[in-house]
Amino acid sequence: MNATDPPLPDLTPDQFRAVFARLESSIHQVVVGMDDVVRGCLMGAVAGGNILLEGVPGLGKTLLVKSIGDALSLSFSRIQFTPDLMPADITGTKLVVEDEHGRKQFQLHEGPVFHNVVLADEVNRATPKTQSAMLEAMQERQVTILGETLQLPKPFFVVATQNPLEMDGTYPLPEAQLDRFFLKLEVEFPGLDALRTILDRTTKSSAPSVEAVCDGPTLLAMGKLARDVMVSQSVTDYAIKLVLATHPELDGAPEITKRYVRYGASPRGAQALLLAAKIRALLEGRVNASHEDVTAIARPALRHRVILNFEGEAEGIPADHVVDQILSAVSR
Amino acid sequence: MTRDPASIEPIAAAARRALRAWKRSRAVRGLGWGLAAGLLALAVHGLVIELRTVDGLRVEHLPPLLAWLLLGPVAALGAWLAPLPTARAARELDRRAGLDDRISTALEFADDPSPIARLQRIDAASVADVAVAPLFPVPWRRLGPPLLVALLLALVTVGVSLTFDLGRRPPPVADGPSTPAEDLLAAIESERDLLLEAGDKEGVRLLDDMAREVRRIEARREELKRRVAERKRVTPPDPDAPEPELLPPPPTPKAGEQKKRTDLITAEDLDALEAQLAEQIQLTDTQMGDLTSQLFSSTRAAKKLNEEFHHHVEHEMDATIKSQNASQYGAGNTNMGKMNEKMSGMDMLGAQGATSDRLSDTGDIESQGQDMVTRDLSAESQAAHDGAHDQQHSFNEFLKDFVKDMQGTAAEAAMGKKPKKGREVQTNTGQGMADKRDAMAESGFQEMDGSKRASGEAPPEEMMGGEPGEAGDGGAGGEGSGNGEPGDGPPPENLDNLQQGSGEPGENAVAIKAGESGGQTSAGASGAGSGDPGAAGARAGHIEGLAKMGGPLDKVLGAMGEGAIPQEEREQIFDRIARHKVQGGLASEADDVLLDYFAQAEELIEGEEALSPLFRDFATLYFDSIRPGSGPSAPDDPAEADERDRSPAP
Repeated sequence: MNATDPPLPDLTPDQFRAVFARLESSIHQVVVGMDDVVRGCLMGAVAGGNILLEGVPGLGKTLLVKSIGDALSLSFSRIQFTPDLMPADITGTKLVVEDEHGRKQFQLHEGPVFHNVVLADEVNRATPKTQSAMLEAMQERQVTILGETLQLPKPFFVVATQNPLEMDGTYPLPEAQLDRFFLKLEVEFPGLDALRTILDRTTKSSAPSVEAVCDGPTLLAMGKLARDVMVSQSVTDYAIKLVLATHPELDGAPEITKRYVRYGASPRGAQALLLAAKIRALLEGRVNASHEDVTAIARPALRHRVILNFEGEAEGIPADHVVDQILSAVSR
Repeated sequence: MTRDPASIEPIAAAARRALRAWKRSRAVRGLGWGLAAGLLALAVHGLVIELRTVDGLRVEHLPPLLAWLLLGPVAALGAWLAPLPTARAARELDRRAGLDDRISTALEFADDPSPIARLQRIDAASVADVAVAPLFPVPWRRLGPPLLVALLLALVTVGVSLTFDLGRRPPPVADGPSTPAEDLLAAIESERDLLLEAGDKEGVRLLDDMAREVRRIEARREELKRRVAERKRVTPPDPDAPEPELLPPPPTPKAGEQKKRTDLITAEDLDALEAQLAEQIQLTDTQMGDLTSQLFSSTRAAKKLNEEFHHHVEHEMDATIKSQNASQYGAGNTNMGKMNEKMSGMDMLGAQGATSDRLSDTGDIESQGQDMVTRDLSAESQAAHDGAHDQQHSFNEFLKDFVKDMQGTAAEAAMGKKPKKGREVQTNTGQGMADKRDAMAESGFQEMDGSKRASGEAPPEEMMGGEPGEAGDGGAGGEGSGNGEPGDGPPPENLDNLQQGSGEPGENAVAIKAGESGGQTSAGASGAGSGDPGAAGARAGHIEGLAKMGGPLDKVLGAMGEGAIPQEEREQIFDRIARHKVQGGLASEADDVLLDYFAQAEELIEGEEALSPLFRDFATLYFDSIRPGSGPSAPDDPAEADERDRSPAP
């Protein structure tokens, strides 16, 4: 945090839990179901991490992200990734404009990335060149336009979506970019009750709206509190052992890893595991992360970081299955 | 004073409780699994003993078998003593109680002063009062079935093995040419296969019975051989003596127990074989003595006899000491008179027998006598009383050794078994004794001195007199001397001198055999073995002295002196008495004990069930042969017997 940043309010664990509950409640005013997805997105927001949503079109992903932005009182932008999308379309560019005196000069035209919450819709449809333009923004919280580096607003996080079915004309995200997502959440098709509620809410004249219950500084304060949560050495070791177990080249790797995994999770995956576990501990009313927190967060934190090999892809082994087997194989 | 809610103490206490409960649970689990393993091992071990040994499983095998059960306590102890950190116990408590690592985290950050750590400790303390014992239960459900199965298996195995014969195997036969029994078993097995193929079950059954009987006989033979070998190992025989071949006594066959078959090795065949071998055993007298010595040292009966014998001697010695002490400080005690008589007799024996070794060690006794002279025992000092008591005890000990040596030497001398080729030197055996008696007389032993004078014996100076180196001149006449220094004089030639020396017991000096071995102890009477009439006179005096001591043995010896016992028989008696060292202790008491010894030995050996029949026969034969008055036996060595025959009768 820079010195110019405004001071963050002090939050207690109880206040953290209360704010988080209000956020979830506010978002659920609009978004029906998807409890885990909503919680995961909010955890990403608190941790300052990016979220990758995977689901078929029409499940309310865009609505979800927009509702998060509204609930957090944060600016929101949506970028529809297409094959002809250019990096400048994301980051912005400098245009030659003529001032009132008739002199021409470069003027920055900020792209949609200059918002607190960015929705990268169908991110896998853009070319790798355009996708890589998001890398710096997602990880460094900054963009470089014509040699000029610009800081992105705080808080900042990206929620990207991708369609798992329509793979024609898509460019799967490279491992480096996948690793930059804090969590990967799968959006499931809503059930009967959830669908009835969706229909009930969206087919009336009065549409529900999201109430802003939080602001940027509070979100940052929540992130700071989450990072202060106590983690014992055994829990840390457990997270490390899980990450190491995803690497097939290591001797202690489980059998399923050696058979189906081409590349395992990076240290960034261990960071995501532990940070998400801390936030979950706060949400569970504790100020210490536990083994259960790590176990509960292992799937969304590792599923996109476990890169299957040809055999795994050919046999259609789900990444979640590999993670589950790793969880079973690694002792606490 | 309120406790800090963020205190780590309740959290640490919970971790310690968890640690104890976990250790207890592990120890009980280890006990259960260890017991199960021990019971299984016990069952297997018992089965192995039952199947691999001739006798099978017996009650004597149970203690080592039960030692397997120690696996349980050992495993429990190991589980309890195994290192178990408190942090690990805290994590286990978190896991089992569902505390989400609250306790372990709080313990790990116990010293963290940050607000979040304090909050965490408060949170952990709120759940630290969890009941620990149910979280670490003893897994009886998992432990019970294997433990029960192992227990049943062990009980059944041991019980059945103790009750029934589960097909014992004969002891392994050493490699080599096959024995007749093996040939027979092989033939039986071959025939059995043929009958089995032919379906003749009755024939197979008969062959099985036959094979079982042959194995039983062979096993019995091997067991008997093994026991004889073990008995030999207990007391190794004299390497110089030829080792006799021993065979176990043949088992007594019962009439009609087994049908005579010419094609089988039956118990009767074995009996005949062993009887034939037994006839071939020609034990010399020395071998017989060695065997009997082994018997005495390896049987309980013999040990008990020896203990009683020595106890009897000790008791007599104590009684003598008491009587002497009583007479020392009290007047007119009749025991003192008896003691004086004994001492007189012993001195007489000492003058006649050989005691060179002991006498060379009598310097301390003499010095004690001198001390007694200088000490006024009639004084009122208690210290003087104690000193006198100790001296008297030492003197009695000396007398005990003295008589023992005297008797051994007298026995050898009476046998005439080893005639001396060298010179005989008479030694002053009683100088130390004389000095001591003088000292004792001067220090209050008036009764002793008086009795000596009353008996008309020669004064001590005459008995023990003489200078060292002059003994050879005096022969056995009592003027010889020299403590271990052989004299240069010729063998005694003057019969009168000899008779003079041997006529009065107690006045004869001890002769030192100055032959090749130098100061070897020998009685003056041993001169008889070389045909020296003077030595014969000395021996006659010795026997007469022994006869005065009374007792059954003395009667025997007296009879020997009168020529009532044949020469060979007499030598046999002395030979065996000397060999088996029955001469320990006071002579008169030893004689009485000797006869009791014979009777008790026969009685105990007859009642000793563990004694093999062969050794029982040896013992009976031995006691029959050495009992005073029994018939003569064959001489050990014909050459030696001839040599004894050439010696003149006393």
